[in-house]
Amino acid sequence: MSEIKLLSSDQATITVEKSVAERSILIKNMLEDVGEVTEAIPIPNVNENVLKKVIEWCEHHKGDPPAQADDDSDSRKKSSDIDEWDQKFMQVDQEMLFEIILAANYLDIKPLLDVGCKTVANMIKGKSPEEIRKTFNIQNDFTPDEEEQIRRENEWAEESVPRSQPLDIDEAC
Amino acid sequence: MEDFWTWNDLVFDFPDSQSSMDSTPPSPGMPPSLSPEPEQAFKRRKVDNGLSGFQIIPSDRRPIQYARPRKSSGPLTLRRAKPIKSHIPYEIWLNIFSFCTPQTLAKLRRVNSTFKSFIDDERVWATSRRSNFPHFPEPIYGYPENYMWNLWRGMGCMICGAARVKKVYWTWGVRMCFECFKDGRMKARPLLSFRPPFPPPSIADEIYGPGDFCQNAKKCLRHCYISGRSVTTERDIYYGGEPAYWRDEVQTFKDEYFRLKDEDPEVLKVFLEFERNRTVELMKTAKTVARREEIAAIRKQRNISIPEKCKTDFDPPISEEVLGLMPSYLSALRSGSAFTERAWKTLAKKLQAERKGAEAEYNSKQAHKRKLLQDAVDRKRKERQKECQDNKALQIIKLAMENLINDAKECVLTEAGVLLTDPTQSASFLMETLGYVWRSWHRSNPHLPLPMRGIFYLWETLFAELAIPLDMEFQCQFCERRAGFKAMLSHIAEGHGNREESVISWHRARGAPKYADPLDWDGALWPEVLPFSPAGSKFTPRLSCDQHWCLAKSYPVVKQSPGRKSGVTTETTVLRPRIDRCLRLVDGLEVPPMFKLATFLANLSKEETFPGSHDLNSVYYEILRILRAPADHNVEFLRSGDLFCKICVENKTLLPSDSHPGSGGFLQLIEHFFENHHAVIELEKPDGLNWRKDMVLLPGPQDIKSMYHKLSDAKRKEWDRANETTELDLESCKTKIEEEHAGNRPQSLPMSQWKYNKQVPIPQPPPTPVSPFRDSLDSVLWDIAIQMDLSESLQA
Repeated sequence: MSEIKLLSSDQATITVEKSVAERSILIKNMLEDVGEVTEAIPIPNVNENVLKKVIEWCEHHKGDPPAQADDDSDSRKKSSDIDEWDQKFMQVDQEMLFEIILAANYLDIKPLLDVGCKTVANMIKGKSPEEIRKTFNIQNDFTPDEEEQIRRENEWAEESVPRSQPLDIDEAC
Repeated sequence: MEDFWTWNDLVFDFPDSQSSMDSTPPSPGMPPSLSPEPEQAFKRRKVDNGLSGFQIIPSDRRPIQYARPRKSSGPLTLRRAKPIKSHIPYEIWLNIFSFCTPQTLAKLRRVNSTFKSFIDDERVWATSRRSNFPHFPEPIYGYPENYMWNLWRGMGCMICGAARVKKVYWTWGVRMCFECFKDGRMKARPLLSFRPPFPPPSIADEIYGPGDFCQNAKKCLRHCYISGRSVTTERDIYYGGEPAYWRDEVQTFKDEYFRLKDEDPEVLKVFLEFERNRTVELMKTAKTVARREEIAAIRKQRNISIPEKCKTDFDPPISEEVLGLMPSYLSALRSGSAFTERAWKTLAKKLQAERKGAEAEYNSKQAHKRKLLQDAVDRKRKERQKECQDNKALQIIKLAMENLINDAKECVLTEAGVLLTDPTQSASFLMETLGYVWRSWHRSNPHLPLPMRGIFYLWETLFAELAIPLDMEFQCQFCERRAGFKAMLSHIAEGHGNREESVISWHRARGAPKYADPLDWDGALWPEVLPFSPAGSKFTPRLSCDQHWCLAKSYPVVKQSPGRKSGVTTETTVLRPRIDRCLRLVDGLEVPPMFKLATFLANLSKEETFPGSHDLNSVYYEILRILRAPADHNVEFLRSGDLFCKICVENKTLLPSDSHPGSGGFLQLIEHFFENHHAVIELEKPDGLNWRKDMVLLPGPQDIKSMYHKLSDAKRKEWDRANETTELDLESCKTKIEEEHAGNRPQSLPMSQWKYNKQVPIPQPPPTPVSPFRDSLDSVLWDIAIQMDLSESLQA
């Protein structure tokens, strides 16, 4: 079982099994293109911590069957559909979570990316816009008028919709 | 394009949905093809490029609030937190969004302009829809997904703002109330800034021109055709689960469209018009049905909950009866809007206001009802009392009637021997029996009228069995009617029964069909006088009442004859022993029958204690009875002839010899008398008939004298002895006879030799005029023999 070395953005070298590393489509394709490499493969966008985390996930999931191309709707359907180990794995701070997502995106590890996105989606779910802003520390850059306008457009999505203001169509033009 | 109002213009109404995107630059990792086109330069944007993004900080740290937009570009760094070194690229957000429900997406739109620009991508919505609602149809052609969700999940009329409207008219892409739909308030709106990402320039624009009601429908239909799917799942629900999208319409449209589009656009327009009407019709029907069901449910709920509320919320509770009188309650029951707490409060106020009046009304109604009920009960009670009385009377009558029939039966059984085939004698018997029945009834029930039914029973049980000749005719005494016995009974009951105080027929009051006899047998009363007599013969005399009822056609039924004497009811029983006594007197006499007859008649007259009390029918009947069953009397003398009708002789009325009862006996004389003279005497002597005076003319003195002389001495003495009681003055008689014998006067023709002939007024030999002597002799003889004025002397 051959091993390959990965060089993180902060110049740390990590050795992983080739089969584990090949969970990443990026590395897999690269290895296929280049053939055998002995020197460390630079992963410029991912630092050591994140890379370790990603490798941890890859090692755990190395036996997983490859995702089918068309299982889009099924496996991704439920955002809450995350297995237990992954949930634990994702119990990291938000920064790390997004780093992992970015790394998964960069390394093209689709299952990990999905797990990350699902986790984020779960964080978003059931929150009001204000809560979402707080959660992700996002600035509200709408004027009150704009926000009211959007709110009215999406009134149907609000939790309690006691009464609908008419869409003032003529005025809106 | 400015001249065209397209579908999109009509239905899509997000004025700044696009504009909010345009100033946002694509994210670093975002492929250019995915970024929204910056179509228009925008208006108000406070956030500069690069600042409109977002930053992510660990959630356990205090988020940083920007006092104002920052000017710097590039990765955000947080002051007190380790910043995320890079932006989260667009694809990743897309990925995240794809795990969100459309509802979440809608909320995310509000978070930030960058988010909004991300999310205002149809693909985000489509992905979200597919992953969360895999069976939900694609939006209708030209609809943004967001708008479709708005239509589907939103509430309220989008035209007039009416609340609680959930009905979506997918064809026109608007959610509106039925009123707006009806009024056609669908209006084309000016071109908006938003252009959907779907390929808009289609044939639709070329064909349809300016968007109007009809065109929009067509476009929708066309879209249905293109996508080949149901327009809406809501429609399915609406139609009760039927796959009700317009596949047929789509198919029809498709066919028509391809057939006609090259030929004649005008035809197409007509077709479109038709389609529109049909759609409207469908909508109306569906709306009506749904609304009806809804209203039914609401009313059911109102019917249950309002009375309950009235009981629980009012003190004292309002009863349902009172509620039924309140107009506001009734109208509230009819209302079709849902029964909310607020509606109840409004209603409660009205009810409170109306309560007093309604309760008063209710009480008065109840009182009225009670009164009606009481009246009905009283009426019923009275009816029952009357009924009981009637029943009692009927019971009495019924009992009495048994006695009546028993009496009559007894009478018939003992007297039936007289029944002959001779109608006259049968009629006499019948009359006598009826008279007897009446008398016995009156004796035993002095205060009870005899109902006609009793007589009818008699007829049915007795007379009809006795084979009384049915051709016997009877003459009504009150009118000119003649009929058989039964018919006469009916006639009397119908025309002459006094119903004024009659017992109401018990059966008729119940209307029992069994007793549907039109005649009121129980109500009609049997008159105190015999109401009819045998027709054709005047034989049966009137009853010996003091009143002259026989002349009055409309004579009222006698209730209780005021002058009726107490002995009348026992007439028959009195008469019979008298006749017996008279018969015994002449029993042993060995004299010619004429003598016996004279003695008998004289005795009978003497027996009379009061005038006119014996009707001739009774006498006739008794004589008849004795003749039929002579018992121990020798009654042959009663058959002897030589009796002459006094009227006939006095009036010198000559009758045909064969009809003259010269050889007949006493009975024939009575029959003759009534047949021929009854009516005349009636008219001439309104005081009534005295048969003793007017009927019998005994044989002339010569006959008696010769008979007397023929007697042996012993017999002569015997006769004299017998005459002592009768006070027949035989001596003077003898004297006169001797004078006559010695005298020169021509011998008068014996009466026995008289011939009556109509053609020859005076019989042969031509008689000398009736001599005064003879007249006197006759009259003397008559006076002696018959004692015709005995009654007068007695009266005196």
